[in-house]
Amino acid sequence: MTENSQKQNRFLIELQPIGRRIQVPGGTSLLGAAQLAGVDITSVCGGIGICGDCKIRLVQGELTPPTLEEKDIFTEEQFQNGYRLACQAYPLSDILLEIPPESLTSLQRLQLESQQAEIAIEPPIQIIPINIPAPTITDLRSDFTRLQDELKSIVPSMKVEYPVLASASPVFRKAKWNIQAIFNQDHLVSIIPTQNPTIIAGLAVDIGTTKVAAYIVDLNTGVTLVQDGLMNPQIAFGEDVISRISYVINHPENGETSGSKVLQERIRDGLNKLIQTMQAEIEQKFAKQLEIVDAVVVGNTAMHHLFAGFPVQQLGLSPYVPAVSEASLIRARELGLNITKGGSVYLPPNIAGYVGADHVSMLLATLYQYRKELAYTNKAVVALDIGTNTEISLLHNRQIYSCSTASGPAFEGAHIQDGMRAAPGAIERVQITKDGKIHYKTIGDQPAIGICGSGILDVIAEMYYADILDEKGALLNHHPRVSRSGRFPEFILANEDETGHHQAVVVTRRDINEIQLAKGAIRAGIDILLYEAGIEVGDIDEFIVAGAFGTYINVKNAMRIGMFPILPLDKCHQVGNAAGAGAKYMLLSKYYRELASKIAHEVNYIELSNHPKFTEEFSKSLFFPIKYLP
Amino acid sequence: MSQEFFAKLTQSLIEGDPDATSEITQTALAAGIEPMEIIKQGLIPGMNVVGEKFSTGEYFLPDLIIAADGMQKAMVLLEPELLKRHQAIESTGIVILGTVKGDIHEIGKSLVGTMLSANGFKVFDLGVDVATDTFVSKARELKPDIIGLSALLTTTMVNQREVIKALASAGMGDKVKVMVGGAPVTRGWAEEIGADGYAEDAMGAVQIARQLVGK
Repeated sequence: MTENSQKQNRFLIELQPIGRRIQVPGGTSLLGAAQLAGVDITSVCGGIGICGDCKIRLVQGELTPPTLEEKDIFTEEQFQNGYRLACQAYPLSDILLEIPPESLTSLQRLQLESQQAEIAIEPPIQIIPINIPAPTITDLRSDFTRLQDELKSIVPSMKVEYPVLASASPVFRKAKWNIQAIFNQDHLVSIIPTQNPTIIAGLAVDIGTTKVAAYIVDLNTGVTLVQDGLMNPQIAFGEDVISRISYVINHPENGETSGSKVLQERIRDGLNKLIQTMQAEIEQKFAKQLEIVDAVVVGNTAMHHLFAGFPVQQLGLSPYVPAVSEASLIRARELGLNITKGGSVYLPPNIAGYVGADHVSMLLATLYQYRKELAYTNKAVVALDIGTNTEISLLHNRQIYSCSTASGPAFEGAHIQDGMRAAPGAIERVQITKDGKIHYKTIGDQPAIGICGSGILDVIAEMYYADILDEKGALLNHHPRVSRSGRFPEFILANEDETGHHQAVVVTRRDINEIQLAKGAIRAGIDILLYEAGIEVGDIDEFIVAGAFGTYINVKNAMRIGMFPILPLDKCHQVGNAAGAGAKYMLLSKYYRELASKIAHEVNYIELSNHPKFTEEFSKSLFFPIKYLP
Repeated sequence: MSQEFFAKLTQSLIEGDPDATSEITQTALAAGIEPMEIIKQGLIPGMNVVGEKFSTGEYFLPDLIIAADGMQKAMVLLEPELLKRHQAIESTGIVILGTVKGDIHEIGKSLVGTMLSANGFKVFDLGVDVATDTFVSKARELKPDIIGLSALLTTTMVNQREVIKALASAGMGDKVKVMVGGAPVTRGWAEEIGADGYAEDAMGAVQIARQLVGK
């Protein structure tokens, strides 16, 4: 069949075990079909056929022949069994396919808690209760004039958002002219009847490349009423930032089908669904109505831009500059975010293409506390958030130095043979005791089916300290669990008789190499910031590890493999989702919004990729350091 | 005595001890051993072993980086000595290397450069974020056998195609071979854009380069 005739046909694709069906035009890949059907299949590489994540099994129907990329990934036997890559295979007939569980992006544990510090509540939102005199035959002022007259002395330069103007009159009458006027600075964003018991709240969101965390905060009390999260729905379009930027570049068409529109819609719809769930939960729990009158959204520069509808193409090409680095206030209705109709969304500033508003937010929640205290001392504080890109800041002598380092997706389980996200059955803790016995713990205490980031970090540190690995990362022969039967030497972490899928869970030399690259990049970043500030490891007073992954890791093991410098453990703090906490501060405090701009403006951004010491520091950091810790 | 130096040099590369490589090179030069012999009998055999171990999966990128570092440290000492003697390493071929426009990833490209040098290629490394026109003008100037294009991002690999197109329109399409590499680059992509060679890693690049120059 020629390509042309493929394109003219439409095929029915049935996705099992989810049970979704979708009609697609010929020339749509199976990955594209799944995306259209709203089924999130993992695709680390963004659909170019190299990551091998989007494995599916053909049950019925005819597909285009396997590509070279697929031949690199599958064995002949796997082809016989129908295995294909969804991004490489195109239907030639109606198709019934099965998606193996590991190819789906759902079901992962989310990390949401964050240390909440006390801050003064002085939000940009002002709630003004007023009694408006009702119109009479002798008082014929318009509804809006009478509102304005009442508020003149309180908010002299009042501006009214259009949706309020359009909907206020019936509300006034229903409320018998007793209302609460909600102002964001001098913008009237909402009118709420006084007699209805209503919680007036704000929404704080941290859009991670992988996970999204959201909080609804009572703007009167500062209390977090509910927190929830979801996997970033854009994952189906590429797991890392660059893959998503590529998706946008490769789908440049105008209008609704453009890549940037599609990605923006995905995150918007995901957030709106989340808001709906959270709102229902609060209204049920407190038996009151909830009005979300303000929002703060943080994310890395790419997530920030995709959410706001700013161009991202330039972020994918050197010199990787943001389209917008300033703090922005955007009307929620322009972004399609379902909060109060006249409300707006505050997006804090970005520092650089790969140090975004989420890092500013994290610095607000962590460093600034220190900075106030330590304003006139020489104390040094390192704060970092580990992800596919790890952002690192160093505070020293009232200066903040920041950089971003490409640590890759290994700690998210990608590029690791038996790697997986932090989901049930993932080995998350490993210990090798003196007698050589291996102990591990899985998430949910389920039979093991793979290793997640904290587990792979543990096992490598433990192997190194148990002399199963040398300092270059090579597996040593003497341990009974080191197998050389395969193409590459590997360490058997869990035997096939104890796992959930009856296959051994192994750590290969290649996996170790991936972790060496990741931890080397992180350590090189830390060392270069220290170098720029003119201080040494011994000068570090506090070491703050933020973010989801950072909260779960064993910090001592991170030191053992050289990812972190060796420091007394009492100098280290794992603070959870500090970016989320910072977003809450910015909901609750005008002062913190000003600080955000101040921090972003003051940071000394250090570009690592062309830093003269990077290659040297990185190469040095690839190896495991001298064994020192007990 | 020289044999002992050569064996030690080879060993220092295999074991990944760049400081030792540099020290032994220095001592060997001081002992009056010819720089060309140091390269041919000490360094190249060492790099070949590292390369083999890399191909079989025993060694990984860190090992390769550290061996390349040792090799480079030694060459810094040896090159001025070769110049003094008006000697040059016999060239397997001339290669121009660079990371394409928009991309500033250095390490992989530099490794390929080191491995090619260790195998007798004369390498001109144009660096990172190299404009398409620069590849063309340098190719015109240096008349290389091969141009190697590195790209580490899916957003920049498209510029490999741009260079190939530009070479063709400059009439050099059949005069110079192009090989491509980088994390997101695949065989399929290489074929699609009309590259003459693709390799997954630095060792593979050496093999392909040898094939392309027929050696």
